[in-house]
Amino acid sequence: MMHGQQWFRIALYLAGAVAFLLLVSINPPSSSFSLGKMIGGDGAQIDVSVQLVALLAAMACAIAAVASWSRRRIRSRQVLVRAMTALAVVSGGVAVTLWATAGATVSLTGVVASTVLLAVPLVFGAMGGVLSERAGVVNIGIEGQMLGGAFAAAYTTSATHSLALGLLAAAFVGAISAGILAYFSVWHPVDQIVVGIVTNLLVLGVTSFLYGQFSKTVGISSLPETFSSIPIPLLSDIPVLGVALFDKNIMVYLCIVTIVAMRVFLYRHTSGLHLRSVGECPRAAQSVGIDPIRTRIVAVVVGGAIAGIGGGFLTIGSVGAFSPNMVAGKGYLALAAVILGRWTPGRAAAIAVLFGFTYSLQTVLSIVGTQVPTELLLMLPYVVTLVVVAVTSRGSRAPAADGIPFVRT
Amino acid sequence: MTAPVEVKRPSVPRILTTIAPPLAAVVIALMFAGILIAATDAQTAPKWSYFFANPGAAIGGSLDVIGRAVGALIAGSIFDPTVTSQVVSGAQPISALFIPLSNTLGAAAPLALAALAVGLCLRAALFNVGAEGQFIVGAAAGAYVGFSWHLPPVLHPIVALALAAACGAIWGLIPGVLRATTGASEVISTIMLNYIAGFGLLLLLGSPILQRPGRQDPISPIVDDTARLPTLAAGIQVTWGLVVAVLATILLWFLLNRTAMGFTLKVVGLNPRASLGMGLPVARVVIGTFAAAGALAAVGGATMVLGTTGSVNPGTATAIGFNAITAALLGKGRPGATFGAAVLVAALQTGGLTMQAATGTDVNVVLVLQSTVVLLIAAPMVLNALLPRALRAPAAIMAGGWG
Repeated sequence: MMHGQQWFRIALYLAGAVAFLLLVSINPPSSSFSLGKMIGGDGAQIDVSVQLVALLAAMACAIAAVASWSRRRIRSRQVLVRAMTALAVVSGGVAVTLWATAGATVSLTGVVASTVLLAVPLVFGAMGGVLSERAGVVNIGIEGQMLGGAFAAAYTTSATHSLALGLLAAAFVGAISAGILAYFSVWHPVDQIVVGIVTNLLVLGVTSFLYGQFSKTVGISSLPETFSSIPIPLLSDIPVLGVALFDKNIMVYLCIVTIVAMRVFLYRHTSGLHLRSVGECPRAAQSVGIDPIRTRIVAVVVGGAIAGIGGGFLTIGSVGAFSPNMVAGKGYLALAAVILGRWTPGRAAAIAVLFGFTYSLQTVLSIVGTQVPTELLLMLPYVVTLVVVAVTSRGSRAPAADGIPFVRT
Repeated sequence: MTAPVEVKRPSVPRILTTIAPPLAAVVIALMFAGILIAATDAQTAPKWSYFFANPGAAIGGSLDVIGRAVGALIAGSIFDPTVTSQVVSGAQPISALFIPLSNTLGAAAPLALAALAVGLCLRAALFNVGAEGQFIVGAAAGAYVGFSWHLPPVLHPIVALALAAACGAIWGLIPGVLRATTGASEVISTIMLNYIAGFGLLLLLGSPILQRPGRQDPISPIVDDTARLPTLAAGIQVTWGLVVAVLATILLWFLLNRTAMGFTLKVVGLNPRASLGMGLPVARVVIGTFAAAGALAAVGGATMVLGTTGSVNPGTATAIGFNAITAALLGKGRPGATFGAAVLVAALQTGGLTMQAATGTDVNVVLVLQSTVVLLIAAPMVLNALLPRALRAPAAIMAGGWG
């Protein structure tokens, strides 16, 4: 039997194919990508026909639709569907970008670089989320942990003129915010989602209040310094990727290290195995001598520290200023990345980068000018999340004990 | 596993056990907020640096600044003592006494409707974080009918409210249908829908559909006078929106407690798995609950536009989402209690603005206050450790996991 979910997916692929064919039929002017550093476009240029790319995306969608028309789960077909989906996402993204810029030149390096910058806080948040959710605690509080981290980093840096202390403060406040969540929803069995949302509000209230009280006296709305970039020899000379990935500040490198570390920890380390077992079946974990409560508390607090660093990146890693509610839903997007990435570090990071790309698209388009209303572009990351959540929810499986409080007996 | 021993509680009037925990929570939250205010006040904070030389100055100064802030909060939301003397001396009419309270009740009406939307979902174990988006949809729809259709007086607001409810129900269907068919977490989808609604409103306000002619900034035309919800009495802020909110509360109470439909909803909320086993239409309940919630919050948005603001702008729904969640969690999803909690939250909001204007304390302290209160109510263990056994709060609220 083909279930409703499958029909939904096929319908979505067909809708995608039709949309891209429509794009082909309106015959948009071709645009060019440049390899220079400026978003406006300098250096070598590559002309790209929007029609051709859109046609490619439409074909990928159509093949994916046909390939998912299957009653059984056949491995090779699944691989084909996945490959075609990836191709459709990439070529569709390129086609839409080029169509929206209407004949202007877009810097490929600029797009990739801003994608990385915008993805870093999301990736940090998602890694924090993966850690706590793998231990079985739903972490809606990422938003608050990031906001707390952003404020702490800005405040500490402007008060002490030390970026290192700012970074530490971000991790510390993120951990404290997560500690509230851990205390109420792990130590005591209070609903994790309710406590998470409430801690978000608490952090929003405290940081906005302190901003209102301090902004006249302490310069958190414009920081004296942010982390400067450290180009890595040789690697930073690679065209496009070099500037985007290897000519960045230390927090970006830390982010890449965190993804790898999280993967190694969860899948190659005994403690990681213990943590995952607590997320799947805390009772069984307890029976072999693992303390589920302690494991969960440590996971949530460390996850909070990581998310806090992600928040800190917003102030001392890139923007250089704090403003109230500046995280503006990025914590929730990070959480969505965790769910869409099926609770694995690599996939969650990939989804976070996809969100980063949609943000970047909006930035790039507002710079080079576009025929699409800016509000639609601003809406884009959230629409993408909504659609992807809808499509992937049934296929994925959360850690079995995710969201269920563990009560010691 | 040993069963907990039933302790026979001394009989305490139910009203006391209902009121005591929130009251204690408010007191603790006030203390926390007070510490924040005193620690960050530009005049008071330095006094703590010479605390040991002159403890009186630090403590007295702190208490003074906290007292002034709380005083202004109350004066702006419930009752202003300084006005009393003016009324007695005849400088102001008697109605001036009721202005703060009427401001609170005026703000409470839309908020209560949004809070009921969250509360209704809580009873079905659904966490509706999307009241804000649903509110925006209702506000936009209500405003559109208000200024672009020209109908006779009484009919006009009714049509506007009805259309807002319909639009809100459709908007509310999205997370409901996604949850029921694909299992997508309603928490994530409603959060995303809030942002989508917010930017959608901006989009409409920049287009000929909702933009006020001759204006460049995002603001809608003012609704026709025929569409305005009249105030209940001259000179006060309370409009017929409050009546709508009270009626909705009573209707919800009736539905939840006196009908089979409400019973089904509560059963599904208490145990979705058992409900499936019993053959209850769980998917239909989820979808229906979300549609109803969307309609409720949207009516809230429309009453705000038709009653108070008269037009829509991007700030229309500011903080409504948080406040609705706060009120619904405080009221634990029970309609009457949720309404009461909405009035409390509205009082904090209106009072907070007065406080900021009068004492310079940042209005966001109200958000701190609110979230502390909810945290203490949602997680009753802190209060239970402090309150005598007879007054303790019953079990906490559960909103379910990832489904």
